[in-house]
Amino acid sequence: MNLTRSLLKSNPSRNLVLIILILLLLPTVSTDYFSSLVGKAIIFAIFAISLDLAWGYGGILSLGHSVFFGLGAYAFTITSLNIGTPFGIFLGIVLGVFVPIIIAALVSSFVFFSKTSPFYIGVVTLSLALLAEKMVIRFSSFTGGQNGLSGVPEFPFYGVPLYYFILLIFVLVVVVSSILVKSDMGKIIMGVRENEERMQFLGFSTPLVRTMIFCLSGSLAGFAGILYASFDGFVSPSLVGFTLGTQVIVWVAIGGRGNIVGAVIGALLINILSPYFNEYFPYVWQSILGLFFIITVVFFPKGIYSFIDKSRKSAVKYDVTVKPQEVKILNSKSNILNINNLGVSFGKLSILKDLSLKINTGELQCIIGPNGAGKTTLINAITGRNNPTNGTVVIDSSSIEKERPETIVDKGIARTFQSTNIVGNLTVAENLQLATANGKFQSFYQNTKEIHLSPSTDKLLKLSRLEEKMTLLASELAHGDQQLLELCMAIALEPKVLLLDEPTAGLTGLERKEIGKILIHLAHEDNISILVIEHDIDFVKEIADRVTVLYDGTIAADGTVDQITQSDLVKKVYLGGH
Amino acid sequence: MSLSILSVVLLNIVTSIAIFFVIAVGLAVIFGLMDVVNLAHGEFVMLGAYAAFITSQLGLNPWLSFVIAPVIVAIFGLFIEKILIRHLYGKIMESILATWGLGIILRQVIELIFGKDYKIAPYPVEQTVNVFGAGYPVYRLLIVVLALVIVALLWYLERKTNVGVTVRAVIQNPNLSSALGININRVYSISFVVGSALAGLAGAIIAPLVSVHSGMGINYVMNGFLTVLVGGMGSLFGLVGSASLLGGSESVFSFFFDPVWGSIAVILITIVFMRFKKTSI
Repeated sequence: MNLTRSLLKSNPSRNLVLIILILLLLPTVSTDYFSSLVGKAIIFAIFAISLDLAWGYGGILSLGHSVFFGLGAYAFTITSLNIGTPFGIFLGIVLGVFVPIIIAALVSSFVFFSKTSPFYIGVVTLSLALLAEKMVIRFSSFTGGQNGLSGVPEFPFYGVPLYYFILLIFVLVVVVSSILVKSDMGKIIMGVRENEERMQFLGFSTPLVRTMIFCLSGSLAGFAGILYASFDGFVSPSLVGFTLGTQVIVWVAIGGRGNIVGAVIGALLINILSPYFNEYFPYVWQSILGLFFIITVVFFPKGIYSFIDKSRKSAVKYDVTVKPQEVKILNSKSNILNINNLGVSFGKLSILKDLSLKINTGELQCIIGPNGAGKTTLINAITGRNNPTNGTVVIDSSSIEKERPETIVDKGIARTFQSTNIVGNLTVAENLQLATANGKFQSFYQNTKEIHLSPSTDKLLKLSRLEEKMTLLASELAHGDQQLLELCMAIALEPKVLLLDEPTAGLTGLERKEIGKILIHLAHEDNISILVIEHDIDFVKEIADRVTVLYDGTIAADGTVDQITQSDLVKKVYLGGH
Repeated sequence: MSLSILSVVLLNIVTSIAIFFVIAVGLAVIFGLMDVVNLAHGEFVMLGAYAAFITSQLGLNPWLSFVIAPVIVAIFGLFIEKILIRHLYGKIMESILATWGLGIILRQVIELIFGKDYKIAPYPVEQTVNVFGAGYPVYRLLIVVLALVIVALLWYLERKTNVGVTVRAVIQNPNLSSALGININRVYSISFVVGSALAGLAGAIIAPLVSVHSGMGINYVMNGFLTVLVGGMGSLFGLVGSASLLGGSESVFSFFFDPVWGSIAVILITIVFMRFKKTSI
């Protein structure tokens, strides 16, 4: 009794164990027909997990996931039927997994590396499913066309042993995918889903992350397709087609996306119930499913599993360790970043006009200027958010004006945004951990509970008191704290150059003073070059080593605080008056 | 290739472009204005085709279907806007999924009512014209004329009327428009109805050319989506251009190879085009 109670006490992994236990005991009480039905449902649950990895975890809305399932089934069947030896079956399994990976990689290389939206990805994947079905019917000499292919090599056992074999594979898939989504890499995948831009400016190649999860998902779908083909002994065009692609979306959405258990529950429930309801209320049942799907999507985006799982995401404690202070060779006042004749235009509108600027090592430089002067555009152009129309940006003698944001981060340039940009659905600690990954792929199985911070990040973390809020979700922080977190993340990248877009907007006077001190420390002690866009002239006077005035896309003045505040031009264009 | 075949091929290309356009235009109106993707657009087209079928079953003049279909689908669109779409303004992902579900329901309900068999809607005109010795159906030419009329009307509406100014204001900046006293919900609701009416009209237009059945929408709407992707949201003429590119390629490939190669061409062109396009949707 105690065991059942603790199993029923909701928690995703306990729920999974409970589901597996029920499935284990099933053959002892059910008919062969029912076991075979459940066997098929389990295979579909594996397919649903594959979609959940891409969609629920990766944020890739694949409306035609059946392409990968069907490709796996067909690649396996065609290879094994044509070769006909045990080696043929082996090769079939290999191809059944790898052909979907190749297609997924091909789709990714086009879709994720251009500017994307869920609409584009959805339409392309959906059109692939429609196309695949047409092609299977068209090229009937390979595929058997409309009639499909029968005589697919079956498992060497049947009945109850086959059921248990499928169940065993299912358990393995569940365990492996659960480990993946909880791993350090899993956090990166979710980070990209939640906030692609921030992840890019933390140095991650987000298209590559998406490609990776999409290929992984495709291969698992292909694997499910192999199982299905062999289980059923028959493949037909409906396996690649749009209808199955629709159904798997419905299972995952109703069950609960972004959660392995949710996808499993949805797929099992619907696939076990459907044969009965389809027999007695054919159209009504499908319409009810459709209606249920709409209601889920609009009102309960996390599916029915959100009603079962009431457990709040338990706050995981992270250990913070601090790296030893690096001894830096101070060659003060040397140029680190050179901007030459930089121009940025949007159509006929030019925002920056032949702007040249040098940023020195360990200098805290403030940029002021009226609205529309091009301050944010300057930072965007340096960091690769907008590509410059002309001119060069050189850091450490390498040109970066045509590079992608993640490459520029890798060269040592970090930034913050005017409107705070953090990964809201992850905790403060997880956000920091993402930053310390420095844009590199992390372990696919380990779930590290340790953050290795640079001394200055640790200092800021303590000063800002974020240290006490490490287990909170970033979205639960107050606005000022979010801004501080973003600053911490930028510093955790250990940049050579730090570009801050109004870091003190919306902060109280006291908080500004604190941030000011930290910035001065970062520049003078840690030797980081800092460029700050700032509106508050008093704050600028407090912190700046050098002030640059940007006006109408060019540099109007550049010098020490005193030189600038005395300048007539500045008084005219910035401090008011005409 | 003889002159008659060549001219028939060219005419087929032009009509194919017109069909791509009439299907895509309703979708573009809704997406461009409301940031809502109506994935059930194909089913709206299907409803329009069924309306044309019913019109002929009732013994009414087939020409009437060009009025009845848009009106029926517009009323249906109004209803759907009130109960569903209203919750989805500006949420692309949710709108894709919810309208996807709506499509599932519509296909099932129509199949429940009308059965699985293919229906036939009659041509309003059955004559052919002589094109260099080959007979070409007048109806297909009529589609081109209708498409041109839609282009002209929408262009006039957008550029020359107060409605157009309001609509462009809402697209540019919904919040500011709202602050200036424009009832943006009404603009959204009207644009969804207009988009639905256009889908219904498209359904009535293509009904005589195809077999009408519950699953017919998806293939047409796919081309519609790809056309909208390539054409971009902003401009009517962008849409005309992309309909020309994709519709033209489809009919050329279908003629020289077969329709499957036509579909492959349309998808490949879209993916490659989108890869190198600067702006995103």
